[in-house]
Amino acid sequence: MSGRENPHGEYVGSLFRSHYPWLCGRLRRHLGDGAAEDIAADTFVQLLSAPVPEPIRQPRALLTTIAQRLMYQLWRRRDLERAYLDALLEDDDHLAPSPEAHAQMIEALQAIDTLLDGLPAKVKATFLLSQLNGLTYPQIALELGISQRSVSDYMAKAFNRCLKLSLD
Amino acid sequence: MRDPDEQQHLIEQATQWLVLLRSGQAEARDHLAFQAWRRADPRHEQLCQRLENTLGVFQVPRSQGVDGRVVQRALAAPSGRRRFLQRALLGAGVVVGAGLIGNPMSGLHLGADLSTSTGERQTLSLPDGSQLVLNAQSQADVRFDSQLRVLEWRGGEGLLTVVDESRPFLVRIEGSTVSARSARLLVAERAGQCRVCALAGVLEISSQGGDRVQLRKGHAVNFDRVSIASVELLRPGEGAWVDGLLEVRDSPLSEVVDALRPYRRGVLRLDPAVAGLRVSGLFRLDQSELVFEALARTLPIRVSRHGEYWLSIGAV
Repeated sequence: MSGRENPHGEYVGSLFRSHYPWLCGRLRRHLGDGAAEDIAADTFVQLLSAPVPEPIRQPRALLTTIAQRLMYQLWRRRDLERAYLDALLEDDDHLAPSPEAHAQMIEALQAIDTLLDGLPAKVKATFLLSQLNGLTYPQIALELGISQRSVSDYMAKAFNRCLKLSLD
Repeated sequence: MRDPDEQQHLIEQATQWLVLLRSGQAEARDHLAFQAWRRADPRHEQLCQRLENTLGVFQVPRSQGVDGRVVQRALAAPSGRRRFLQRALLGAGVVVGAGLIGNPMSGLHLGADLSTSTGERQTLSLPDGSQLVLNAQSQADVRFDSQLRVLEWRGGEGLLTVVDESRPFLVRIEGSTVSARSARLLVAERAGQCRVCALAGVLEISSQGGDRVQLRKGHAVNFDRVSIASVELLRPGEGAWVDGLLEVRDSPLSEVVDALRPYRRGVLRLDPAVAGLRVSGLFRLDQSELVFEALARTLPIRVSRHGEYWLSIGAV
């Protein structure tokens, strides 16, 4: 962040110096020490990579908003990881993955979670059985106890969502 | 593709194609017709490419052979936002009031009012001044009204100190009800197996089927949805988790491993062949790695690790 030829970097650097300890303190109320500092640092990295009009009128409000979003993401990631490991435990066929493969999987899981966020559980179940297990609609209908018509409708909902997000 | 109507139309067309192609009933000519549609307009081609990119997130689970059902269960994890609210409220010294964040609908799919994560213990004040110490990975919902004080036990272990009041205090756990006036009790439920211990005061436990058991100080009872076992004496070291300790005397290894599970992230497998080995000792729950090292030195077991998240215990 040596900002001589980088005014934005320099500006964020000055914000960092004046607000970083404050932000860490705030986050420590909700997170452990290490995680609080990580999130606080990530907040400034985000600010650095997404230029905003300068000067920011209420920097602490903006920092809090970014940090909160990062914190939710972190928590969601932990929740997902825990639930994923629980689900794996019940699935005896699964072999132990390497730490790298595990990390990749958790990242993918978070991306899938974001992609399908807000869709009804049955829609998610249908789409995942199609995408990951390669089941046909009659097989999905049988497994989920729904009609084939519903399977088609749910697939349409899921594809509609994916297509919309693809265009954004 | 600036025009929203046009964009909407395009998305609908593409959706129809995709739904047909994934059905398992599409024929060769359907695939050919789709290819023709895709080539017919650069916007079609661009949309398809972007979609392939979006669906790339499924590559990782597919290449690792992860079942769609496992992913589905993971995605059903309750969201941390709710927990954030609870923490924020608890952190601010606000006690959890009835209905404040309690969900009147089923609490099953949403986080509980009070909960702890892996490796975390918490001491909480209830609205009536009663106190609850929650062991790691434990949850309960608070349902207090003008008539009753009810704690819906969602799983895990707790040490509850109930203050006397005109409203009865009830703990609902796996279909049974534990009632107390002024008492100190341990409540535990994991995988449907419940245990309640009276440390002070008198408790009454009534099951769904109408069985009743009175539990006096120093006594404990196990039960599940179906039946209540006979009353027994409190085991030495019971409730030591409150101080972060695990005290076992000639207990099966499985009991030690189960007590450590809420303190570890990841998968912990125990070979049934060694689950019955007897163990005695005093262990720190917060240092499970050291516990496994100590056990491996004294028992005929082998502890093997696969990365950070997998640990299995088997015979030598």
